[in-house]
Amino acid sequence: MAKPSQAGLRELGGVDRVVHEPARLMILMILYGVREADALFLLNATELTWGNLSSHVSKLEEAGYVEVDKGFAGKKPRTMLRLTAAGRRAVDDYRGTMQAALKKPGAR
Amino acid sequence: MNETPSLGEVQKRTARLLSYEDGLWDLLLGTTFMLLAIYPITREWLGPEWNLALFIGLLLLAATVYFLVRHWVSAPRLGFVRARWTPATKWILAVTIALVALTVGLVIVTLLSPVAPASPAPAVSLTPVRTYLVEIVALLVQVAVFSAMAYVFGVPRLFLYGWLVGGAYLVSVILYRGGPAVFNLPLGLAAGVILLIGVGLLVRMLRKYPVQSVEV
Repeated sequence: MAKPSQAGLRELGGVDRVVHEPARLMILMILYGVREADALFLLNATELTWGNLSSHVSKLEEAGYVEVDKGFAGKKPRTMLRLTAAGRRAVDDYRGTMQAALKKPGAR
Repeated sequence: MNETPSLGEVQKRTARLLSYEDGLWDLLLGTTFMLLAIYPITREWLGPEWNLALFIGLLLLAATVYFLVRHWVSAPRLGFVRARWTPATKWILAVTIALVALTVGLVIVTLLSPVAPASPAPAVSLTPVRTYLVEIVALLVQVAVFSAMAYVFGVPRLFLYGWLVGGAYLVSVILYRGGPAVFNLPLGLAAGVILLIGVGLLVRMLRKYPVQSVEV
C-alpha cells in the first residue's frame, strides 16, 4: 500500500479541525451546494439529531464559516443558514489539503 | 451518524431530498403521461386546436398544484432550500427541461399527431408518414433522458420510468398505428404505475416527516 509522503503528513497536521469533523463537514458540504437552507432541511439531509445539529452549527458560526438568520415564515419561526465566504474558502482549502495529503506517490 | 461523507453522495442526497422525496415530481410526470394517454379521445371530441389548448391548460394546472403542494405541504416537513445557480446547475436544468420537452414532443408528434377527419375515411389515410427509425430514436431518447437523471440525481426508480415510458410508447405504436382514436392503454398503464409510486412516496413522506419547526 502506498504511504503518504512526508510533506503530505505535515499538511495533514495543519488541517482545519473545525471543518474536519464529519458532521460539520457534511453540513458545510450541503451548504456549499445551495444558496441557503433552513435548519429543518439540514436536519433531514444530515440525519443528525437536533442537539447535535445545533451544537455543530454553533461551532461553525463561531468559526465564521456559517451565517445564521432567525426569522419567520408566516407565523412559524425559520432559521436560515448559509455559507460565508470564509466558509466556502475553508471547504476549498480542506479539500485541497486532503487531496494533496492522500495523493499516492507518483500519481499526478 | 458514523459514515464518512462524500461530497458527491451528500449532494445527491440533497437533490433527492429537494426534488424526489415527496413523490410530487412522480405525480406530475404520471399526470403528464396520463394526459397524453387520453389525448386521442379528447382530440376526437374537441378537435386538434382546442385539444392542444386543453392539454397545455391542464399541464399548467398540474404544475401550479405541484408548486402549491410543495410550498404548503412538503416544505414545512422536508425543509426549505434556495438553490445556488452556478453555470453547471443552470446547464443541467436547461438540458433536463429540453430533453423532457423533447420526449413529450416526440410522443405527440410520432404517436398522437394523426388528425381524425370529420367524415369517416379509410384507416390508411389517417396514418402519417412515419419510419421506425424515428420511433427507435424516440424510444432511446426517453430511456436515455430518464437513465441520465437517475444516475445524476441517484434516484434508481427513474431507470424504471425510462423503460416504462419508452416501452409503453413502442407498444402504443404497434397497437394503435393508424387505428381509431382510443384511450392509449400502454401509456395509461405506465402513467398509472408512476402515479401509484408518486402517491406511495407522498404518503410515506407525510408519515416520515411530520410538520415541525427547528430552532438552532
